[in-house]
Amino acid sequence: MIEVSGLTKTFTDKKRGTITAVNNVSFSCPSGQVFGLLGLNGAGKTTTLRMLATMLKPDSGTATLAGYDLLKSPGDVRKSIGFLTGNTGLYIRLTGREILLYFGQLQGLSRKAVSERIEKFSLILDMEKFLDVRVDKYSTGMKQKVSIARTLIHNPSVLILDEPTLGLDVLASRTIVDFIGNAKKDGLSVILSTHIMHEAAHLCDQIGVIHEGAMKKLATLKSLKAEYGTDDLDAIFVSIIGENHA
Amino acid sequence: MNLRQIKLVYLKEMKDILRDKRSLRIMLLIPVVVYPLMAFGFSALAMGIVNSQRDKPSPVMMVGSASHVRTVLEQASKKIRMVSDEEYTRDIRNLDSAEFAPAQRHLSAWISDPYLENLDDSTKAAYYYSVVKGKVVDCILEVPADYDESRISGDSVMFNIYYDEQEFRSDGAESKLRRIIAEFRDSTIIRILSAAGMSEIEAQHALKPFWIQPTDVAPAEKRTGFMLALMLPYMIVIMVLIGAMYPAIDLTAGEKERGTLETILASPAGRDEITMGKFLAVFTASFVTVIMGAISMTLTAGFGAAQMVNDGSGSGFVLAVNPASLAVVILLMLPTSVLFSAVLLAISVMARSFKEAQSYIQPMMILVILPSMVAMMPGIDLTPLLALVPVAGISLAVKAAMLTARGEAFPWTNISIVFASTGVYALAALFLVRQMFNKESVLFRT
Repeated sequence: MIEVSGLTKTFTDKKRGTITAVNNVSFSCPSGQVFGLLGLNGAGKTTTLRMLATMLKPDSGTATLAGYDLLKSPGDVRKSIGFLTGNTGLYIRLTGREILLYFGQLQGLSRKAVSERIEKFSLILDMEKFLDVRVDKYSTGMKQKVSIARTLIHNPSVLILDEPTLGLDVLASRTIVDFIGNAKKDGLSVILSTHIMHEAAHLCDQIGVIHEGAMKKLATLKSLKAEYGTDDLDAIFVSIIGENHA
Repeated sequence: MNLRQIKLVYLKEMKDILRDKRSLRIMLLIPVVVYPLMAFGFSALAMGIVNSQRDKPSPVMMVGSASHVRTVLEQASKKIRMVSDEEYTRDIRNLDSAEFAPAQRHLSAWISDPYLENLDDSTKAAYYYSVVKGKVVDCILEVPADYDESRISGDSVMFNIYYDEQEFRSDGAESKLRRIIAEFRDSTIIRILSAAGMSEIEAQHALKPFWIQPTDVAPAEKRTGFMLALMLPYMIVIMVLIGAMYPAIDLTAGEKERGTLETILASPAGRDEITMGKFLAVFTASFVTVIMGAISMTLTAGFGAAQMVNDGSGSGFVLAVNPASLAVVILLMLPTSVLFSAVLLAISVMARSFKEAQSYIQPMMILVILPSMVAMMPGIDLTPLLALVPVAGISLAVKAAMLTARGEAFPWTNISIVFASTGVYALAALFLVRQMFNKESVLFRT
């Protein structure tokens, strides 16, 4: 369960002065659902997700993730979330197994418990062949699998995914899309930021369109389609952004 | 602070550092291989050049007809080789570059009058300069025309040697030639004294009534200690710095570049735990580098000292450094490593990429290396005030420690001031790192 209320974040830039990157954003996402955060580049998606992952401190507003307030107990929030972005890298000089062990132990799990979970993921994601090879020898697909396992190693109840398919080929994107679908089935709350509309249409239960830091539209996918009289999410998105541009 | 998390971060970062060939090269290869090679190889190379020059007869031209002198020079054929007039003129004519123009311009003048009495001194100098430069001969001996007469009249005359002191082979030829002539002069004196009625032993005695024999009584330890005291402060400070440099960049800007920083920030590890784990890893790399360096320098100096003790002839090993000095130096490197590791981390975490971090750190290298060189300057000693100056204080304290021989007392007060002040700077730098790692605008710079 994710409850976001009134999140606001401003930055000071030497050239542009004070910028409100995220302005009073609120939404919620129950367990077993995917919330799609759609927006152009620079709309405030990444800043919102970084605040939810407690990397950035909001200027005002807060959020509750898996029952923990991100201002009051950021440590517990980080224990409950799995965080993955399209730019996420892996430690190239470590093996897949070492990376999973590291993050699992940082989550507070014992070495034994992590090892057991690694075995499980190794089977599910078909990683046994390369798990003891250093990451710098991996293909993109192998890296994606280890990243997914890394995100799930501590059994989080919330997933925060920031454009997770960015720059991936069709096959690797497919792995990620399947992973999100499975997480949803397993009852996790998932926030997915993307600007690939067919992914959003395929995966999301709710859509939030963020533009210039503000939430312009918040609705279920179904009601959006009904309101705009089309199944084409691209067209819906453009009209929402267009409305606000005009 | 969660110690388990710090330990996890630290162990992971150490694993990363130990698998990074670049960091390893600096931690092990530079102190263990490059520095001794520099110290040994360089002196071996220099010795080799000197020896080959000494063993090869230097080509020398003699002006003047004194046949007795010429015979003496020809007998010293192991040291010098007399160049004939024909060879001399032919070689000058064969010089084909414009830079040897003076040699060719004045050759005909030389042939008609080898004393070149019609040329002024600077033209004559320019002529011989280009003869030496053109490698026709290494030096020129000018025996005055009235030498034979002077032997009868009893007047003193002057021998001139023309050479180029800045030219290694010419300088070597000059000293060989001067030694041969000095010996010739000694035998001339003995002959004059014998002719005046002295026995040969009396004549020898009159020539050298006594000898002078200086002996350096400083123990070998102090002699090598002195050499090390000049070099070590500078080299050791650099080792602390370069030992920390690559890991510091790799664990901060490198992580940003590879996209791994966000992942660790989203993990339950707190900022302070991440900072501390990274700092300890960089510190370890830096401290290991400097210990390796100190040991390797000591060993290098030890083998060098054995050569000095055995008068250059033997080999072996002498523990040429006061072990207590070494311990004090390593102790001093503790706060120094903390200081440099923290400062490097604070700088490189600001950068977005490895390259950017390197460009930030280069100016700092100069800021550190310059004050560390203060120990190489003669006459500057550690005072309480200098002990407070960052880096310069450390450098002088290392020097002071190295100059303390076994059984002597260390200047503890000043060394303690250096230790304490560096410790304070180090803590301030650590605090700065902590601030940096908690600053959103630093971690997520775009």
